[in-house]
Amino acid sequence: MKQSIIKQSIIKPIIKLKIALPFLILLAFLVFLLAGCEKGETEMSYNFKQGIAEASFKLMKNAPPEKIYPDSNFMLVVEVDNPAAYDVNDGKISIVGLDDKYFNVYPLTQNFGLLAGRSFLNPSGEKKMIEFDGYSGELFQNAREYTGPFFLQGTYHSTMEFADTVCLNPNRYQVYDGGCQVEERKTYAGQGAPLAVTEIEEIISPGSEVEFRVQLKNKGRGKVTSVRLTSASLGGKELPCEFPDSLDKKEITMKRDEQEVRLVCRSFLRSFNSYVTSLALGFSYDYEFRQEHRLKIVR
Amino acid sequence: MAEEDNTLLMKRIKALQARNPGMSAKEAWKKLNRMQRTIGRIQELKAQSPGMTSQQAWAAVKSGGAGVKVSSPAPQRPVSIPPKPAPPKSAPASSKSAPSKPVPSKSTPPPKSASQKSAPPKKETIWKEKAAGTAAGAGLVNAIADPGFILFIAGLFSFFFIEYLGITALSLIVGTVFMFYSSIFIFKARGLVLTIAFWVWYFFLGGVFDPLILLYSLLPIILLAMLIHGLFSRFSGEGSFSQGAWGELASGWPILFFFLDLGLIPWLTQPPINLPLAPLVQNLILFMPWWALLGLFTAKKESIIINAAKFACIIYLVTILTLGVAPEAYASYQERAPGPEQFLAAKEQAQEQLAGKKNPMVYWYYCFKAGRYAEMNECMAEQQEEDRLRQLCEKEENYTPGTSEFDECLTEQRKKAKEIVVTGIRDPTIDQPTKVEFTKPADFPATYYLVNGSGSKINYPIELKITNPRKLQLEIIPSCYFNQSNGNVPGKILGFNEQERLFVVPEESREIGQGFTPPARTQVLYQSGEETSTTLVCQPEKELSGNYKLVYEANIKNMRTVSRLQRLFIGEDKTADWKEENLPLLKRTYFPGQTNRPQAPDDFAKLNFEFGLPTANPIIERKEGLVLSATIENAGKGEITVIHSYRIELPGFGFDSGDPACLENYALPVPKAKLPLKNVYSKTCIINSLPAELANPASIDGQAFVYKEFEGTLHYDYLIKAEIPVKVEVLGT
Repeated sequence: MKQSIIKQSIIKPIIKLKIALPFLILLAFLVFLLAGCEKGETEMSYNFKQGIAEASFKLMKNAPPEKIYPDSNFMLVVEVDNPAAYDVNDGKISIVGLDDKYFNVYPLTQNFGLLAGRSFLNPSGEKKMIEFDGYSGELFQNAREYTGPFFLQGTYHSTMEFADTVCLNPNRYQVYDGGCQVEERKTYAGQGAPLAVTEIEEIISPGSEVEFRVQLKNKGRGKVTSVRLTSASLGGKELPCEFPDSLDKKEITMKRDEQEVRLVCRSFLRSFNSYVTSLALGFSYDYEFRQEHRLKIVR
Repeated sequence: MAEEDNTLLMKRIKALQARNPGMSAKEAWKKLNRMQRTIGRIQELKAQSPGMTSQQAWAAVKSGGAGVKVSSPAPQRPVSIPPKPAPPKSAPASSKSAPSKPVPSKSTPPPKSASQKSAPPKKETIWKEKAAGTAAGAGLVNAIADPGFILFIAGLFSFFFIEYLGITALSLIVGTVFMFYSSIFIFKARGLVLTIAFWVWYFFLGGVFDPLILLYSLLPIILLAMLIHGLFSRFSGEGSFSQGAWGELASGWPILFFFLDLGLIPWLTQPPINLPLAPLVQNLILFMPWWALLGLFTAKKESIIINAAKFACIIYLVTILTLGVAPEAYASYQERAPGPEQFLAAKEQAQEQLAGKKNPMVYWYYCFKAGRYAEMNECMAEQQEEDRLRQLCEKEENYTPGTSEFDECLTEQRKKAKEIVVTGIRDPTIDQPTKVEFTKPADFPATYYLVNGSGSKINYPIELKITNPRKLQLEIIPSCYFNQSNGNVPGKILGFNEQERLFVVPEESREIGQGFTPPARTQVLYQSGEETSTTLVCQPEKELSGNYKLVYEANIKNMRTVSRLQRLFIGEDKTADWKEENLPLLKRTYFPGQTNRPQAPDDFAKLNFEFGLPTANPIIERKEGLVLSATIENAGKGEITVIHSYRIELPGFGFDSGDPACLENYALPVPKAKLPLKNVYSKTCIINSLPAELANPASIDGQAFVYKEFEGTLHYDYLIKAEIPVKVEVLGT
């Protein structure tokens, strides 16, 4: 009786536990894996400085209305959204190309100042509504309608940062150096802005000098008018860089039909052995966009 | 072939005359015809009774042919044979089994059937049977010459005759004659029925495109014509049914040439078709003797003269084709086919514009002689223009060449000719222009019977339809008269005293508080919608007898038409890169299609104005040295009688101080011409400054450019006419 009680209360649970244990371990492993994945994903979603993103501007639906009657008030509302990883400064929006005989819009230009980019505190970026008041004129004679094309045009100033680790190896042909491997050419998808570092070429010269050739490209829908290098460091120390195609070596005006520039940075190596270090570049740029729209007066 | 046939015929006539002294050629010809008929009967008898010899058949015919049914529809004429007649595919058995034979004579008895087959083909063709209509037409002409060559000579003669006299209206009669001539003699009456049907439709039904008329009257006529011709073709042995029926469609050629000669191409170059033609090509086409061309290329005879003429014509045509025609025309539906008067008006207008110009070949010869080989086109254009100006001074201004007044006029005209003519487009956003038109009522008494001495006056009503969507206060002076070749009979509009006006006023003006008082000597017609109409009754002031052209006139006073023009100002500060990047987009966005041109409603007349460098370029970069040009265009079918004023609204623009009439002018003279001119006035001047906001658009906050619309107003009187043929038969005279 006692034996049976012991059997029931102690041995059976142990046997059950023996069977269940592998399952419990597997479960724990899966939980760990999933937990790890979740954690990783959360980290990635907060890395805003990747890919291409730019401030967007769009006219709100029904503001302006599709059809405007003569001699009537209407409103143009522009929704400005900044899904980029950087703040937008000195933002300005203009309504360009409306004939004042038919449409009086006031004011023609509005500043929207600062528009914060995505951050931990504001993961979707800042959004603003900018309103323009309009008044329609009379139609010409007995014209059925009048269609007035116009451009919604804007400019702003923003920044972009680039950071990566690079391997510096002055003895690249010495097989006994078990350090890092130099990647001669690295490509990048973007840093969370329309302006992006798309490629870096690393050239190490025999005189223990390293040269980084950085390719900057506008991958947004608007136009980058000018780019300025604000900071450059290699392993925390200032890295001398210049735009070779510009007289002002720190700033360059981008050609409107060729939105791509090259930055060259050179530095002496600190060690005779290979080592990994960080490369960081900071830029500021002026950006402009233009959208074509139409206003229509009907009888 | 035809020549040989004729020679053979003449030989036979002479042979008969030799055998019968004293017999005239006509008698011999008749005798030959009788012989031919006899042969035909013999052949039919033989076909009906196989085994019958030629001698027996001959005897039967001589004895009166009892019981013999002769189916020959008409006597065949030996001279009616076309050079290469097509062998009938489904000819009746009689014609197949009875081939033609040589003319029997006393010395040559009718040959046997075996010898018939071996008869020389030349002789056979002489006696081949032909349709009566074809035979009648072609036979008559063949005796003289080739029908095509006759048409060539006649067409060429009439072309120069009409051009020399300057009576384009004669084209209608000549064209009708040539149309029927070519249908009968050149196209062998194949499409005669349809040609007649077209003629009836075009002249008697007025070219109505009413689907009911087309369905119930014209379509049956066409089908009937094809049926008749098909049956005739089948049973006359000329060809199969389908050959005859489809041959009826050959009428298309004479009808096409009729229209071409009447002025089809100049008409196509006018609205709404607007077929674009290079000016030189237009000239050449206008100088094209169409009927002569048709005649020449349908001439069957072979001779050096015809071949040379054909060669010359081909060169002429190649010249036209090489210079090119841009077929950008589009078809537009009209309720009626354009009447002959529209074609003639188009032709006259084209000639008016080419007044005094000679055939381009003359200019070519002049320039060739002058040794200007390298600049032939420029030289020809210069000479044409110079001739036009000389003609203007001589014919329009009545100055005698060689006098100092003539030279002064020429200098003045040369100066005017340098003015830029601005063409405008119809405003695409204005569907309804201002229109005034006469509409003939259904019960219009086109023919009236009067009892002699009854003293009763005839009333001719007409509807005056006014489309006034802009609610303008229109003033219309109606009048009428009866035109005859020996003078006009004045008429009066019942209820209207002399110079009394019809005042069209919007209904709203009637409302209390508007304070509208109609001016003196006016009859008010209130307009509630966009259209209104009234009936005007014309009464002759004298008794009428005979045919007249009743002319109704409506003189529309103080008409105003506003046109507009858009321009885009970019300023002088834009870089080449900016322009390269932006101008194509701006042009595409702001000036699609032809909107760089001035636009106006499709009214009677309009002021076409534009400025820029050149004037058609809508992008304004410079702030001085821009060219402003304006042209007053008669866009309707009537006549601009008075130009009260024009005004172009360009506030803040600066002009050459010596040119005060740039933006506005008053009481302009309207040039007199046989037909209303299309462009009655042109002015060009230089803009030497722009308003600040247009000269430098960047001065406006955030604006890289300024898009602006400008207006120009034309204030004028316009005369419209309607001409209706009327007939008054006085009974008991």
